[in-house]
Amino acid sequence: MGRTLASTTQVLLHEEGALSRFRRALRKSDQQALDDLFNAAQQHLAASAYAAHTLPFETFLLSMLLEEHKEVMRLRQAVKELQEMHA
Amino acid sequence: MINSYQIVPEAGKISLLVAPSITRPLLLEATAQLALKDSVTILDGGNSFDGYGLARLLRSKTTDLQAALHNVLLSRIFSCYQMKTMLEAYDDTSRPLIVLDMLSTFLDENVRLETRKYLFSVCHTHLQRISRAAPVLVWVRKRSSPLADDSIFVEKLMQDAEKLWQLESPSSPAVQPALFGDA
Amino acid sequence: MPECKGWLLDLFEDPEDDVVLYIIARDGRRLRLHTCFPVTFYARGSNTELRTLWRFLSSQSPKPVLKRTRRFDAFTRQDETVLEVQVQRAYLQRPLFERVAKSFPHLTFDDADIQLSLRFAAATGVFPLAHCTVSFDEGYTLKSISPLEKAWALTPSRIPFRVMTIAPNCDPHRTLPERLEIDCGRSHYQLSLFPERGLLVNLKALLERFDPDILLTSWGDTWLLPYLLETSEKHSLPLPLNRESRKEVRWQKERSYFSYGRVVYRGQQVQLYGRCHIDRRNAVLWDDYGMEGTLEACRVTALPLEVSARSSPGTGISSIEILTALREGILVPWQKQQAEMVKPASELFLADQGGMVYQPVVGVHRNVAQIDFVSLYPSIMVNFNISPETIINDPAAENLVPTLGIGIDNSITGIVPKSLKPLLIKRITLKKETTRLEAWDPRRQDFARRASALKWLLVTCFGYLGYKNARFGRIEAHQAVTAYARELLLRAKETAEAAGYEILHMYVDALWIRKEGGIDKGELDTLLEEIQLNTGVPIALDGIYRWLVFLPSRQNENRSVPNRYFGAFEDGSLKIRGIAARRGDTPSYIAGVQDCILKMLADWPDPAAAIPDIIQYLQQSIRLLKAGRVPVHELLVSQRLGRKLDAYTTLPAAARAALQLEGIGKHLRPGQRVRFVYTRQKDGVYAWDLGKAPDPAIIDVDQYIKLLIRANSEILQPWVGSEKDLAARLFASGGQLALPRQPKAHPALHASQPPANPCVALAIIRTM
Repeated sequence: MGRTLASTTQVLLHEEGALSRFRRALRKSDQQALDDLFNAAQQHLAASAYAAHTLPFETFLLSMLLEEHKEVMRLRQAVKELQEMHA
Repeated sequence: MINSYQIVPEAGKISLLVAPSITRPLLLEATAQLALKDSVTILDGGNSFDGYGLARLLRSKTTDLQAALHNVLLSRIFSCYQMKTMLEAYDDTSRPLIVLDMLSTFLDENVRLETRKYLFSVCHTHLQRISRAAPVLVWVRKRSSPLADDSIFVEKLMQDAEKLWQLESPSSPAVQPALFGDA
Repeated sequence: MPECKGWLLDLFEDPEDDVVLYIIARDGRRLRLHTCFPVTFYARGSNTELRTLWRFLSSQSPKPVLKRTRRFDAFTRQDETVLEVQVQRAYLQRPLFERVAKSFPHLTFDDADIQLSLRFAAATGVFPLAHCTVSFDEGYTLKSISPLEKAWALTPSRIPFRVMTIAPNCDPHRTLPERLEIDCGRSHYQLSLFPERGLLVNLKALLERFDPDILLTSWGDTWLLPYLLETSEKHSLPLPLNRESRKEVRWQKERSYFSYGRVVYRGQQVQLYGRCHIDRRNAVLWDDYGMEGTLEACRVTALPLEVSARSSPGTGISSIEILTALREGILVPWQKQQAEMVKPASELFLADQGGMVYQPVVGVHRNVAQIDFVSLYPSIMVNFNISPETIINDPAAENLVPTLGIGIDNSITGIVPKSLKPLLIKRITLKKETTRLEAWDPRRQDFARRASALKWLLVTCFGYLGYKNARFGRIEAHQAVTAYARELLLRAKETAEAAGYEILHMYVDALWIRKEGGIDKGELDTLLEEIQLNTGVPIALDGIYRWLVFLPSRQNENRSVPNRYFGAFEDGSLKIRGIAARRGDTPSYIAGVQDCILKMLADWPDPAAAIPDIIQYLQQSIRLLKAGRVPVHELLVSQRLGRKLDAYTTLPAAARAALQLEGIGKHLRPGQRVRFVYTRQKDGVYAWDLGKAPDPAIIDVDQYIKLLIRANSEILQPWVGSEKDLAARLFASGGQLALPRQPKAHPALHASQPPANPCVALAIIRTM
């Protein structure tokens, strides 16, 4: 008796596919940025799966935001260290 | 996705859809319409139920997604014996019934053909019984390389179906829908 | 009345004697006993139908004993009214049931198609290979039989089998053998296949003189026994393969079937009466657990030895559950009738999930501990009492399963936990005992193999709970197990994080953790105890990696995958998952090179230091290929044929090779493996079993170089980059064919710990 629902990985692929027209029309450098966002969502698939939302895309967006924020925190810290070095 | 066809089962008849997998969006649409109107039971005979697809579709039509999903009742059937037992005991006439990939479980070579034919006839009888009180839609999956026993079962269903759609793709039918048993 | 102790070797039905038992007596005799063994099945349905059935059965001769009674149904969770049909002779039950099933399709049946040995074990407690006491009269009619040990005994009594080993001198599917190598006890014989009469006479003499209990063959099912029987008939010289002279040997046809998304090929089978025939090449998991494991599986599943040796673990688990049901008086459905309960689709999203699978942090990590739950899914089934009949579909029930809104009825112990508990305890005990034995202790192999047989049964039981044809499978139970598994894994994570560990990765029942400053063994032990306390399931340390690499996805190097990693433990041993060389179809040369490279990485505390040597080694390996110095059989690719040849639209390599074999009359079935080499010729492949070895000049060297680079770029990716980067580095020096010399003052070799590097030395020797 196999699983019926698509796996969260498959759902992510579907959502990426659904945005393929959007991506195509972007400039190449912007396409790379968009790919980074989806890679970010892929990093937290386990949490998306466990959340078991009926619309998983919401959790993908949250994952993207999560990674962005982590990057902000990392940069903040790096800037602080640089400032201290030159203080 | 061009979707110019609407599949709508009607009360008092068995509606039969003979179509390849690619036409599943039509079934999804039919399920969504019924879920929004009131409720619907799905018996999934081939593990074809597309949960996320239905959720996305419903979200585009309503803000109360959970309530709509709650209106879709689902049971998954994995063998022809289970199909027979389920239909025999089925007595819910308050809502339409959709049977997905009806014949998948009847193509199991591990069960003797005689037995499968017998089980199928019981299922058919009960589908007719149920259809007299509630709309029944049966989807038969048309395969690109049909298996030997397929036709036996399909023909039986086609003989009795009062409303028949035969489709090749979601938007273009191979055969115009016909109302069998029409005067 | 004579009474003696012995072991039950074989058990089967017979038209004259009903049930025949072969006993290996302690005093050395082989006893053939017989008994009448009544067998019961049940029918359910409408009263009218049952009355008709009653009349039908009453007209049978001999007449079965009929009774109207009640018996427990695991799916309805209550006693159901049934018609009990007791057939007085076991061998009559199956044909009678087949007639009944055909004539009464409206009825449902239970306990209808159960192996005789299971019924016997349930009734008497005596399972195949059990040590028992028997008493019988002068006519060898069995009067009583009782077990002297349980199937779960940690050290079962040793059975003094007489084993005769027969093997042809080569693989008969490739070339016709010339002789048979035979071992009986301490004697070794070689029998020439020709002249045929001579072979038969000699073999007959050996069989009669040695009278083996077990015939252990190579290719016995698929070639040897059919060949011997054919030859025996041709010369009208009967061979006493069976001990039971009245019977013919039992044949089962070969077949291919679909299982868990793959085509499996099961060769034809030849089974004997009064003796057990095991074909090493056709026995399930023989390479994994050999004779000791096969005997263990036979004992605990209560399947006859010949059947057990050829059955998958799934069949084994099913047998254990059926045995439990028979003992408990629970109906064993003939056909699974019950479908899933109708539920709102909204519930599917929470319930229809699998194990928890994370995305690891890609890259190289140092000092990582891997901790695994011990048999998580079986432990959950046992601890939380998950079984088809214990599921309560009520969100307000007392023992709620996490997330799902269903409960577990703990007032009864389910069939599944009852069946699994002794299996689980025995496996854990065997494992523990094995670690206490010295490396040289001969019992080590015995324990380890038996533990492995039990492991396979346990590993299968979860899948069986969800399998559509499993008699005691139930989808809600399956979902409950995964729900508990996700919950327990998260609790383990929370416990580890609270103790200051960082989680690198999690996969269903395993966690990879590290701590700043390194892992302290004592602290780790405390953590494991705490996790066990919080989850109720034991968790053990798999090992501490000196270094561990999580590889990115093959398609996208910015994405991780859950099960592609490799690493070196503190003792230098390697663990590798999801990498090309581990797959069955990789040529041994490439697998060998990769193994060497992994060893070279493992030998260094910081694997990055090994890279220059590895590049050199790879260059040498490529030179060997170019120079044609690699033996052809090391370049063999072995792939499975996925479907029938005419079902292919475009022919992949394996199919093209299979076609070549068709050309010489060798037909392959789906699921069978085809061996071939890549060639520069039109077909692109040359099948191995064509009888003649291919000309080394036609080998497609470039293809193998490509495969070599691809296989190794996978594992070198963290340090070297992509496949292109690796190729660039390999061919940077212009690709000269000069013989390499061992560099004297190579910086890598003079680092703190110069590793012993057999692979580099080997490669150098080869090129000399």
